[in-house]
Amino acid sequence: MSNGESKGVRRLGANTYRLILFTILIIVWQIISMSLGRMFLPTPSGVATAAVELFANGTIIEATLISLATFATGYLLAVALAIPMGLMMGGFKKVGEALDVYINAFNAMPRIALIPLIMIWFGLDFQAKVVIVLISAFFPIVINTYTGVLNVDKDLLEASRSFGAKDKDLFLRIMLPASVPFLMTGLRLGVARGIMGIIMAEFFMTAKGLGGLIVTYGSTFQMEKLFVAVTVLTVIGGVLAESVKRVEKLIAPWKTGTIHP
Amino acid sequence: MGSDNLLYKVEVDSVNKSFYRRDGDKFKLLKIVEDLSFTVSDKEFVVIVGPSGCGKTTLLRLIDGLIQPDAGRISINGRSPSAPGPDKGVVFQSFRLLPWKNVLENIAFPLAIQGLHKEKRMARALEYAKLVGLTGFEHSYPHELSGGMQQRVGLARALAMDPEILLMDEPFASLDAQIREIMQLELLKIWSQKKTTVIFVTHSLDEAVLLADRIVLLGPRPSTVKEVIDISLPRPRWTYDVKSHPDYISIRAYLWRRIKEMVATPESIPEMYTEPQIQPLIKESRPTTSQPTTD
Repeated sequence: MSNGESKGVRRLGANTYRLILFTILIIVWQIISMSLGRMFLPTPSGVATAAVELFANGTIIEATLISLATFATGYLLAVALAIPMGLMMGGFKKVGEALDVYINAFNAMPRIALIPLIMIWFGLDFQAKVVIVLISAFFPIVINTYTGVLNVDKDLLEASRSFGAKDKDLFLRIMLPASVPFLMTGLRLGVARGIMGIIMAEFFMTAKGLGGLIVTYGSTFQMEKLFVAVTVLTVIGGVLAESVKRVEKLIAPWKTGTIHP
Repeated sequence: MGSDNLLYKVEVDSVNKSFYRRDGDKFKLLKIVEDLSFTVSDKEFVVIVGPSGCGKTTLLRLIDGLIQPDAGRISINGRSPSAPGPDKGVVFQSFRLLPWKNVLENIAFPLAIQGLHKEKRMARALEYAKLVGLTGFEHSYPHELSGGMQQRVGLARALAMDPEILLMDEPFASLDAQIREIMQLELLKIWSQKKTTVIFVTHSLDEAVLLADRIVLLGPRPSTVKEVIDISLPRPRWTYDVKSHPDYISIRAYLWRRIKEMVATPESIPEMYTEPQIQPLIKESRPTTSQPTTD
């Protein structure tokens, strides 16, 4: 289709610009770092060398797997709890009204404030870190699911009622599918929050995973390696968020692009 | 007027309906329809016309059973409707298609609610998609269709329920002028095949005269029936240029004069041009852009 073709052309253009910008940034970075000294800002070539070393000896891979395993456990738990809760809140008006104030308050509270408490309750390792990812990812998912159910087009509900739909039909056949785009937005935001959570946990608890590497390299002034770890983290976050976006487009192609943080 | 209820398919008898409307921090009772009566015979095409904001949509929702009258009675086949159901098929101005379902699934949606078996309802959907000219678009999604095509889906969805009464709430008002005329003629053709009873609301006088067996002219809010006009233009009306028929011209001119008189009554002006902020009711869908009133 001609439509798809023109989109493809535009895509190529965007990627070209991105590549040009990337090259310029690397060059500027190299120039600045050479004048400032590597203890302050490592050179891109130094970072590249460190990257090869860390990938070759498995350090990065191992750390990434540890972080991802913790993240995945916490995130899946968050999804399993947040989606049913958001649907309950939207489906039963009283549940929603009772809970939304508290949910919003907890969401506004910085998660870092809970770390001492979580350490006392769950220790310093895997379990505690999973809890931190869980409470980080939980709120955007529950809030967006709830918002999705509430924002269902009232005209569609009335039309369905006019066709003889009962409350159960309205929930299952209208509210639930209508909330999918919002839910997907929640899942995407949950990924970003969850990654923040896992790094925070690895900073403050046992220094494992990518967060652990960042802390270790930072405190021992291994600047090149520090940059490698941060870059890997950026790529992981980007890839995960983009994957959810792809899934979103696949299962909710009618989506109009509403985003609720 | 006959005394036997079953003489009429639909009988609207002295119906009153008011809504609370917020006025600053107070709630004001706003009368929408007052002492409104008319009848519709079986297989008749009745068009309800009136000035903007006169409660035409409210009247359709009353007949559909989505809301109940405060006073008076609405009966269909001699029975008062307590709830909406498959005996009434509604076509909405804003289409109201499910964005996550394709054309066939949208047409089949009311049938699914009624629990019709999947194979049967998809077969029925296919049949009605063909009837309204959606062949080749069966698997498209609403956002991929033009307004005219979307409303074809809306029409097919209502017809596929095999309703006794088709309720049409300004169904073509949000379409552009050309598509609207095409849809009007297609509706006439479909109606001549299906011969269901139709209650059609519009504020286009041209549309009213073109389609109707009878026109029910409503006054400004609170609405009552001002006049019922028989349209005896020969059918089928898609075979000749209806708009140049002398009867068409004189009826249209007469209607326009009546509407102008109503609008020009000084005390009615402020009420008429304020859209009601109706509180306890689900938002009615009206286009945000202003619509031409008569053409």
